[in-house]
Parts: sequence; C-alpha cells; structure tokens
Amino acid sequence: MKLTDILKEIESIQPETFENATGRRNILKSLGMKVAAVAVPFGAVSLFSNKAAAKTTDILAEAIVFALGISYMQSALYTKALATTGLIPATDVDGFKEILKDKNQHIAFWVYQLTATGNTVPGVPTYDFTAKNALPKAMTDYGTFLTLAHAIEDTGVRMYLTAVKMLLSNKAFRTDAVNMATTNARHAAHVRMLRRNLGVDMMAWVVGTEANSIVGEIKKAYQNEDNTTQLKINTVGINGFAVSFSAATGAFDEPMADTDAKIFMTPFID
Amino acid sequence: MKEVTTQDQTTHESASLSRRKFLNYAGVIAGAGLLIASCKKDDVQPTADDDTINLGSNDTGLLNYAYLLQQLEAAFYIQVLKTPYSGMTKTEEGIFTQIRDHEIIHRELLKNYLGTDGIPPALENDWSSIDFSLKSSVMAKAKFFEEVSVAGLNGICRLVIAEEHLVTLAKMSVVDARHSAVINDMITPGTFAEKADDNGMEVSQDPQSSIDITKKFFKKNITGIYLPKY
Repeated sequence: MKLTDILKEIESIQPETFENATGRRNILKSLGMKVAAVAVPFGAVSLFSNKAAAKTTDILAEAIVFALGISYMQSALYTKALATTGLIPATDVDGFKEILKDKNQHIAFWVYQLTATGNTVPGVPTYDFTAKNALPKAMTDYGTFLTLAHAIEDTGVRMYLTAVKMLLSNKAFRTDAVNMATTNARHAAHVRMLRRNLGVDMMAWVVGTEANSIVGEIKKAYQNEDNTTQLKINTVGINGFAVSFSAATGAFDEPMADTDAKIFMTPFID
Repeated sequence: MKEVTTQDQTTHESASLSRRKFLNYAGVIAGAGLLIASCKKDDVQPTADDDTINLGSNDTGLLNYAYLLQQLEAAFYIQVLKTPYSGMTKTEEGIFTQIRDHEIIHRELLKNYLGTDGIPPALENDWSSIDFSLKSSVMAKAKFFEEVSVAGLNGICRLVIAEEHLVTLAKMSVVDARHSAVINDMITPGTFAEKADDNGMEVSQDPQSSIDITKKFFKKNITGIYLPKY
C-alpha cells in the first residue's frame, strides 16, 4: 500500500473508533492488514513473502505473534506448576493463580485481535520446562522452578518491550502492549522476591546479566540486559551522582531482540 | 534532544476534525521514517516563572512530564532515607535505596536529554501530606507515587511520536512497575498486580488527569495544557 493511500485511510478513521477493540479490528482491515495464513512458530516473523512491500502493515501482526510467544510459555508454565502437587507452597499459590489469570487474559486479548483481523493464530507449542534435562528439577524443586519462572517473567518484560517498539505505528495496540509489559514486570518482581525469600541475594529488578542465574539455558534470558547507555547517555554515575553499574542496569529493562528470544525459548520447546 | 515538530492539538481546538484525526495517527508517519509535518511555529516551549511551570507541547512536553514524575519519585525516596521512619528494617532500607538510585538515574537521564528544553531541576516539593516519621504514611505514599508513575508513563507512551522516546519511557515504566509491585507486596502480600484490569493490563492514565493528582506535591503550579491529549 502506498503511503498516500495509508494517509487517506487514516483520514477516514474516527479517533473514537480506535478506543475499542472492535474499532481497532476495522482499522486494521482498512489499513490493509491482511496477513497470509502461514503456520507460524512463535517468534518467527516471516509472515509475508515480500516483506519490503508489506512492511508498513504486517509489523502489527508480527508484534502480536511475537508477544504471544512468551505469553503462551508463561501460561503453560504456571498451568503445569499449579497442577503439580507439592511444587508451590500453599502460601504462594494465590500469587501464581493471579499471575496465570493475567497471562491467560493477555493471550485471550491478542488471540481475539488476530482472529478479528483475519490473521492466523499461532498454535501453542508443547513445552519441556526441564529444557531437555538441563534443568531436571524445574518442576520438582521450588527454588529451581522460581529461577526458571523469573527468567521467563523477565523475558516477558523484555519481549513485550520489543512488541511495544514494533507497534509504534498503532497507538492503541502499543498502549495495550505497554500496559501488559508493566503487568509482566509486576509478576517478575513478585516471583523474584519469592526467590529472595528463599535466601537468594537478589532484588525485584534485573542487575547486569543476572549473576544468580544458574545454568546457560536461564542465563540466555539476560543477554544484553547490562546496557548502561540510554538515549546515547551513559547512566553510570550520571551527573556525578553515586549511582553504580548495578543501579544503572536495574533502572531499565532492555527490549529482547527476536534472535535472543528464540535462543532463550527454543530449548524449552519439545 | 530529537526534535519532533507537529502541531499541538490543544492550541488548535478549532482545527478541522480531519486534521485532528490525522494528527492522532501521526505516529504512522514517524514510523515510516518520513518527515511530514514541520510546523515549529506551533510548538509551545516549556516555561517557568515564579508561580507556574508550563511543561510545553509535543514530545518535549511529554518528556517534561515524565521528568516531573521522576523528580517527584527521586525527591520522595531521598527524603525517606534522609529521615527514616522509626523501625525501618535493613531490608526496607536496601529496597528504598535501590529504588531511589533508579529514580535518580531516570531523573538525570531526562534532564540531560531534554537539555535547554527541560523544566527546571529540583523543583521544590510540598510534602505537607506526608509524615516521614511514620511507616504507614511513607508506605502509602510510596505505593501512590509508583502507581501514578507507571500509569502516567504508560499514558505518555500512548502519545509520544519518536520511537526512541517511546522505547525509553517504556523501559523506565517497567522498572517503576517492579518498584510498585514490591511496595504493594510489602504493604499487603499478594497485591503486586492488584491494579490489572480484565485484560491483565495496567490502567494507563492520560497526562491531564495524571497532572491533576501529582501537582499538589509541588510548591509551584504545574500546567500541561499544551500537552498532546488522548
């Protein structure tokens, strides 16, 4: 679609239409967002054979599919964990139920949007949370489970930040993604503090590339999380304040690129 | 800072609906990397006089509002640690210290980025509604400020045009959300995501109503009338 055509389409959109989900569906249609029905493994972004031509519109569906990739994984993890007798202590069960409820709502929202716009909803993979036995106790030992859970939560925050960026051109969807990113961040903080309560020296935010990660499969969630340059400005000791590298990395979560997301998620998929 | 020049919507209330519609979706154009509107004469620069701080318009104004929120949070935690309530535990002190440092970094980053387009630094606060000697008062306000900041930053994310502004603010907001979750759990365990709506989403807040509830913590009046609107 030519830019001038897009502008014409934009002219015809009622701003208030954008405030509701049904309206957004129609807008996407009006912007020509029709994506070829391709079986898409999450994280994969080749929805169009001619990417360059479709770039202005297909990125919305790409972003949603990308976000769904981690939401599916989160939902599967907690569904399985809550069904595993003796894994989660009784005191912590309600928190995980709350988290699972939010994840399933994220999934339902995006599935609705994809369906409504005539896009293919990606299938839910089968997961192996031991990562082919790299984490043999992932679903039997609570500490190991929490480690995996916070890695998946922190990844969720990071992938949703990427989705926000991809959804730049659509104010409603980008706001939805931001609002889910911060919910993911709340979940991540809660899970990390549960692990702290087991005596692990960690906080609710990610410091560096996470020294408390235990094996490679989990460390991969934190690649490039140790960035200390924001808006081209170095944040360590900024303006003479005694703010450390740890504080500088903790103060921002970093978007996770598609390739890094795949590297992290792949070992957990059967 | 990166200059984003589009007409301010507030100063053009009489503008035709079609143009307003167009501006609402100006992000499409920014996303396409094309400069389509360059109307600098319509920009409203931030101003500060003895009584009032005017945040300005466009992305600059929105970033100034983010800067104001981070000034508020940083100043609050600096005060909390300067005059700790009795019985503050080591864990609480550690959490507040790290949160404070994050907020200082957020504040200073925006200060440096905005440069001469920024509102004044270290705006004087009005803490008259807070009793820093009382844990319950401090915790309640920490909860309030973090929630206001996350909702406010997310609202700003809806309105900014430049990609780097959107991404940086979102990166900041998720960390404020981590703070908010911890504070909530410290007050009432399990309330880390109590504000999530039926879609599991944070409820973002538009700058106008967000400013209405934050400006009482500043001695000067704050106005965001030239900011882009929802």
